[in-house]
Amino acid sequence: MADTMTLDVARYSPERDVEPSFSRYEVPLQKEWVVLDGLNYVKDRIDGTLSFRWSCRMGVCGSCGMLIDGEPKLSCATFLDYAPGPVRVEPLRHFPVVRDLAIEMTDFMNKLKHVRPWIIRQEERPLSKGEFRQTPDQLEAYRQFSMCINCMLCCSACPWSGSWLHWAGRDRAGTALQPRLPRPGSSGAHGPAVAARGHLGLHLRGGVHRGLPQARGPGGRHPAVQAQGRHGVVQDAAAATGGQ
Amino acid sequence: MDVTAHHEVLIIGGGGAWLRAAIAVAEANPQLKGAVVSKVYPMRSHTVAAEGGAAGCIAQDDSFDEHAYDTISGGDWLCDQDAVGVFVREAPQELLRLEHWGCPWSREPDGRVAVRPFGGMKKMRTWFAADKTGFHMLHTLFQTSLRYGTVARYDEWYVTRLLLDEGRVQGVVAIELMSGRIHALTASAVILCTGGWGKVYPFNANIKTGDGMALAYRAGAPLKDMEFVQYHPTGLPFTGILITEAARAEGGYLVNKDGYRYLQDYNLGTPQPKPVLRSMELGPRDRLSQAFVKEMEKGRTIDTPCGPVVHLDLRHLGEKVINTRLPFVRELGQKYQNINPVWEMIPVRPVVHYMMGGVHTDIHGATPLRGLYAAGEVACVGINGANRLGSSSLPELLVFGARAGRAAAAFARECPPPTAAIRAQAEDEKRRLEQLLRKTGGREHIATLRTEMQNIMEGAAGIYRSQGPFWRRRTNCVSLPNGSRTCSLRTTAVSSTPSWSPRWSCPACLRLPARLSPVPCCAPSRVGRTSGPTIRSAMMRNFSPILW
Repeated sequence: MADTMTLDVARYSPERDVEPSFSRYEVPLQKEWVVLDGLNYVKDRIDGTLSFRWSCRMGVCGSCGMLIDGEPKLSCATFLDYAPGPVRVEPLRHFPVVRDLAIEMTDFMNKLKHVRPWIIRQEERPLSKGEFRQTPDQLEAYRQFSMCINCMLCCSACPWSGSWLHWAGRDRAGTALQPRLPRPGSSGAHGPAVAARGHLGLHLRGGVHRGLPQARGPGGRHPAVQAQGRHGVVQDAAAATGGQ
Repeated sequence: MDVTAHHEVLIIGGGGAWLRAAIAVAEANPQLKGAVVSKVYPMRSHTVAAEGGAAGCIAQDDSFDEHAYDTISGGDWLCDQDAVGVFVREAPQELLRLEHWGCPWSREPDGRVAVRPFGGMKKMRTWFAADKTGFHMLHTLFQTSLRYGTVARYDEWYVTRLLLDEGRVQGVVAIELMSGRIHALTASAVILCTGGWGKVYPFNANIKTGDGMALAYRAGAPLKDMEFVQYHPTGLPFTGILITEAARAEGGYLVNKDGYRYLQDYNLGTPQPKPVLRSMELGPRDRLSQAFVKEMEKGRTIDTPCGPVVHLDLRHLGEKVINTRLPFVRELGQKYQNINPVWEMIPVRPVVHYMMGGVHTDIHGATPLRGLYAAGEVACVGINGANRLGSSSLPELLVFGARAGRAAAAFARECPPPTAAIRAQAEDEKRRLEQLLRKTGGREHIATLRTEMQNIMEGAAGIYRSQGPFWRRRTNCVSLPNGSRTCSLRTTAVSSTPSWSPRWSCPACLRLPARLSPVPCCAPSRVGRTSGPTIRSAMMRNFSPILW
């Protein structure tokens, strides 16, 4: 393993730049280091102006999604060993860039509530009556829908998310949230979220797969995708976000 | 300075405690205008990283008294027992409420919520959502909070000061990170839900920079029990990511550089092939961490670029057991340490885990400063004493988050409008920030100062509190905040712009002084605590008591 790795990092400062450029940094390469460690090394030792988001550094908070050599990935879960380098690091595509690697996700946050991501029950039950029963099998069937970490990688991978801008915003909320829709005891009353799923189902599988070079999806053949079951679509979306 | 907005209840922080508090405020009084100011989006806060579970007694053979006894004895008899009483009674209700909101708790075969055993608990009472309990709780709370249209959110705003007049907290000054604008927000009541300050130590809890404790401390609210810092014995050396106790419960061995199960030398039992409860690798967390330090002093740990480690050996368990019982351990090893626990030993070392101390509050979350409330790790209600029991922190933020929310809502209803002096104070703070952010030519480098602080804390106020090293470095420790004042925001290297710019960039220059504030509180009290038993669970002195 070489001692250092070269990072080509996209830089963009809205008050100074017309368009993004790349800066090249040399960072130490250790077995445990991920791309995020390289960026933190740059921020601490070389250039404190570099801006990016990160938080948990264990793949569960969803902050540090970036394009790494063109693929949407969590930078905390991507080892730096891209021999022989350099590694290209850019902000997620299909989002406006605030600065350097930080994307603007206000649109997503604003639209989140429109898919009503909370439980809507046909009948509420007081706490005194205890829990809603749910067998381990029922929980397992639902588990995959509860694992979305809102990292936005799927939105970045999905070409439709970038091209259908007029309604991409609303659907974007639907895309990232889709895995979390059904909840225990919710009797299927998901309101408009399910309606959103309808037209997402038309393109999600093919689109997200095409956005991810390592995935071997059907490549956007819409009729085939249309024939997919709902679960098939959602499972693939989960796979596209790195199985988070 | 113009006030950007007025809210009846303003919550600072981004995790589970604020979400529970915000929902409690909205439910207590739907007319009340509440708002949340957080330096991160709600999904990014540290609650998300909690793995193990949340304690609440629901099993047939369990009782509130037993839960209280376990909590109090686990806290080395330094808990506030009234607070523990409230906590154990309300925890099951809060966890059940979360179930009604859709939290996917793991289940028994008949569909009831499952509970599992946890360290220090004599009964099974830990609710869990697989091994990502905090993640599921946080997302359930966040998505439920979206129902309440009355709660405004200021995402990615960083609070720099509490505004205080006539002995009452009446608002905050905050920087909007995306635009760089400085805002004043006034409020009838303010709730701190900003988490702990683990990041004054080198490992783990990256987002927990002690902001809330610093705000409270500067405003004059007392910090309590700051000497009690909990270490977890098995963290990955570079990242500090925790390898769960379950790895040892399944039969993992801790070995030194000679492959020797060194815990047998520290009065922790005799090694057996199979795990024995409360013996060897399943001994108390603090004893295991202390044994590590002793091994290190004897030169029997393994040196790595990330410091000394011992090995957690799971290889004898076999691939099948590891895959079925410890899949997350395997995943973490592969994804974050670049090793496969099936064939390789996992390097581990003790890492800072949780701060028992914090802003002093009563059982309603109220601090001695009128109008200021606190809940979660930032607060010290007193249920954790000298040592928090595993799976207490998540129900704590629910129970006391809700209580603080209700109390703040009631206070806000009776509260007069903000006084005129608040605007002037906000103006002062704005001027201070502008000066700080424009400053150039400083001598200190932020990252260097931060590393120095972390090394001092780990070296002198860590697992063992050593008087010698601490005395030698005490001057640095107390003078660190002064050093931070001479920090330049203009970095030394190639950059042509200041390290903070008027648009989005993490204001490390502001976070560092915030982090430094509790250091002079914690370090001397951690080293200097001489009252009570010589040995407390989460702190261990290796010198004779001297008053100073």
